[in-house]
Amino acid sequence: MRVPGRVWIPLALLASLIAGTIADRPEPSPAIQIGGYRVLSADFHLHSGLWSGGTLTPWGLVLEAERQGLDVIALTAHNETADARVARAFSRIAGGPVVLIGEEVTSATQDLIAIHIDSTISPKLSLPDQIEEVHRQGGLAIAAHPVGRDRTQYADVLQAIDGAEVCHPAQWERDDWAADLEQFKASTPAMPIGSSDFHFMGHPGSCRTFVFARDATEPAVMVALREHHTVVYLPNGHVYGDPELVKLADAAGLQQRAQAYTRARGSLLDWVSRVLALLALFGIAASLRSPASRRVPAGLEFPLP
Amino acid sequence: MTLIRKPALYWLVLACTAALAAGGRLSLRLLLDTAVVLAPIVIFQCVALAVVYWTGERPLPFAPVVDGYFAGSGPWFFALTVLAAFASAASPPVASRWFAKLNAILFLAAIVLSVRIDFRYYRYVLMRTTRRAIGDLVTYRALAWSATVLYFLFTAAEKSSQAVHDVVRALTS
Repeated sequence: MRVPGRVWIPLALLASLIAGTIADRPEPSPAIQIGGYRVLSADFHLHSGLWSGGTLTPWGLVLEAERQGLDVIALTAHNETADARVARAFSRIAGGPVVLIGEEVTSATQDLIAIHIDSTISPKLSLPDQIEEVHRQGGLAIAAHPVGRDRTQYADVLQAIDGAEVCHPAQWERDDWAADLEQFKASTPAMPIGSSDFHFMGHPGSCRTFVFARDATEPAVMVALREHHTVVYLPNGHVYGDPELVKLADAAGLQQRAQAYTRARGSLLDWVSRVLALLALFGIAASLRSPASRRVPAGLEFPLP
Repeated sequence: MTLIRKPALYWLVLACTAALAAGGRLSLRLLLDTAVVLAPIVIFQCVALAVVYWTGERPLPFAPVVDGYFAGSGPWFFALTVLAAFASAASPPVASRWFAKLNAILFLAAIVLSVRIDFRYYRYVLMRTTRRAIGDLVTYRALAWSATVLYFLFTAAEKSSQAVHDVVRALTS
């Protein structure tokens, strides 16, 4: 095996790991108190790795969300709530962000985010029935990335949903989807929501919701959400939310904060860790040699042209 | 040791690239975390290789066969590393806009290169006939890749099957 012989590769990996581990601390984010509200950074659409299409464990996602300065998160696995329960239990022990039990109710034609629910909601229900079930459980229903065909499915429930994702990474994928998100929000009285839909890249909170709550507890967050006390900034400068709350948010400099979350990330140590790790990984890839890449044994000519 | 060293290396590379993409750095916390989530992928591949190995000619013991097979992972490692470099350094807007396209190009290249490497491996190392080596290629991918897709997406199966249906319809219309 040739890899261990190349000493620089494990050394570079080790140095990367040390630099990355030193850099791996939550950024200081002092609590924002303004107008009698505690302003909380929230992301209500996150996926962990265990059967949910992500690459972080539920507890790892809690720690990464904390590192990104999020105060409230909802883990929203596809059609299950198990990992959200694990994340909430971990966060309570570790003193992390408020974790809401969530689910991305994923049907063939559209997705619905359900937060603050008790049990899994079946995707086999019709969309109106899904929303009704969310409400019956005391939760809130949010239209997930209402773009393209997903958007049209919500035409009959615009008054029934509680929130609409108006800031979502889909806006960066296609320009017409950015327009879809804003047009959908204009068509419903639902509160504005910003969510990262984080699976394995981007980072939690790249799109986020500022929640104006009385304190940083789950009941206070839910009261704030039911009163539509949310503000969402879009990268294009548009802002959604109650005008009075927007004034407070602007005064607190939240627009600049929101823009900062969409920029390339990283301190100097992050970059050192990144570059060293990538060098080591390229070194590993270059050093591998399959036995099949050697000369073809005599009498066994390669049969393809 | 021979049995696990290359699969372990594969596991390490998967975990490192996922940690870089998810957190923008390689920290102990992220590495352990992604290693837990991605461990089943390596297991699926070992099981698929075992099925291919035990159902045909076996000129070598299993351990060196596993070692040699995973040594042919270079194209995948290059593809994953380039993706990790992009995902870890790009801003969320840039990453969202270009990741799917870059992913498609790199994985297509990796698939083409790995098909050639794997075919030669079955043909000349495992001494399979040409027809059998092609069958091994298909069997391995059907088992390992299906298991991986199921692992990540089975709770969203209805949506995934609809997406596949849409792609097929777009390609055939």
